[in-house]
Amino acid sequence: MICDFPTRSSRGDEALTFSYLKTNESPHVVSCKAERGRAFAASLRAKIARASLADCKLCAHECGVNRLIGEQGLCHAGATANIFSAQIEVSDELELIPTFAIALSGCDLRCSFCITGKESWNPRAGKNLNLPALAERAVQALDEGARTIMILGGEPTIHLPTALEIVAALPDEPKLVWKTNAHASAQARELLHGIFDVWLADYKFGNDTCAQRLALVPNYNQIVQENLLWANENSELIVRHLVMPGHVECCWRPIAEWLGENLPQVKINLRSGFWPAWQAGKHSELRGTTTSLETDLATKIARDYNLNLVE
Amino acid sequence: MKSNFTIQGEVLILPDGKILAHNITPEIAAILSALDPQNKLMRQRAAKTRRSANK
Repeated sequence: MICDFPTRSSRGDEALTFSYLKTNESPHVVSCKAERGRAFAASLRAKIARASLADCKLCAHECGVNRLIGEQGLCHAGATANIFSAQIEVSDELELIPTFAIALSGCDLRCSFCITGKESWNPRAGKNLNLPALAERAVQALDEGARTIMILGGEPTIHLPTALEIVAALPDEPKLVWKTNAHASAQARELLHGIFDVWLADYKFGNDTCAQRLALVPNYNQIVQENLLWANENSELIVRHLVMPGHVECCWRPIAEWLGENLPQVKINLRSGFWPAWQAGKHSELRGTTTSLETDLATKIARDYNLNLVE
Repeated sequence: MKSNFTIQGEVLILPDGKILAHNITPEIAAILSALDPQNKLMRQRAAKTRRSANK
């Protein structure tokens, strides 16, 4: 069992079992120390997460490569993380902004339309992490009025050790947001349990054919749905969907139907600002933006399924 | 402390005048809100920034 710790909500009080526990602390000691708060818990879990890079199964690809000796899986990430942006932003959900957004380079998906493709497809983009300086900047951002601290990517799951080390360097009080593609493994979810207050999760594709064609990811829907259901049980969850041109019926409608049936109270942000970025031009339907007709239809579908839309 | 990163956001103006933006910083929100005062959502984003700054 590792680091059960009190959180501000009722979650986070169940025992966690890690067969790959590799810290020097005995489980009992770890558990007893856990009352010291989120940062302390994150520091313990960071050690476990870093050890797990020897057989990396943090994302649902579960490549099993040894990132500690330079082997690379589908994300091409090494043992350390780079950061390509760390700044106050107001792009996200109104209830979360201003947020201090920390963006880690690299991702386990290959979305051809990725708006940060250059950094998301290259885990070595950006700059080396300077943890004390970043933590200082985050605290300064809170002083300047940031309401939350958000860790994102690329995809932060592939850099879970670093993400937890960042949390360990932060004060316990700020609301933390985990902005994710919801393609995490069960192992990653265990390590994340109770650490982040909000999971802000993208649900991009409503069928596995589009997911494979546009992001080179198999079995997408089952994995994302597993993650969303888990996140809803263990944190606050906000689900995002970016309306893509030509994909309202094949992608958004089945997503909306599933959300309506399985997560009826969850906040949904339907984003309409598709931007034909990165390699979107490889796909004829993604060479433009969404039309107003598509945006209106997407909104109507959301209402048909009584989704809880937020901005 | 000064940030190690260049503050960045991106704005795309389409031929029909529609404006798309991502990584919107408070400064960009203020500009976009001034450009399109009818945009309620951007007005809210800019206002949140002002409110926070005035805390």
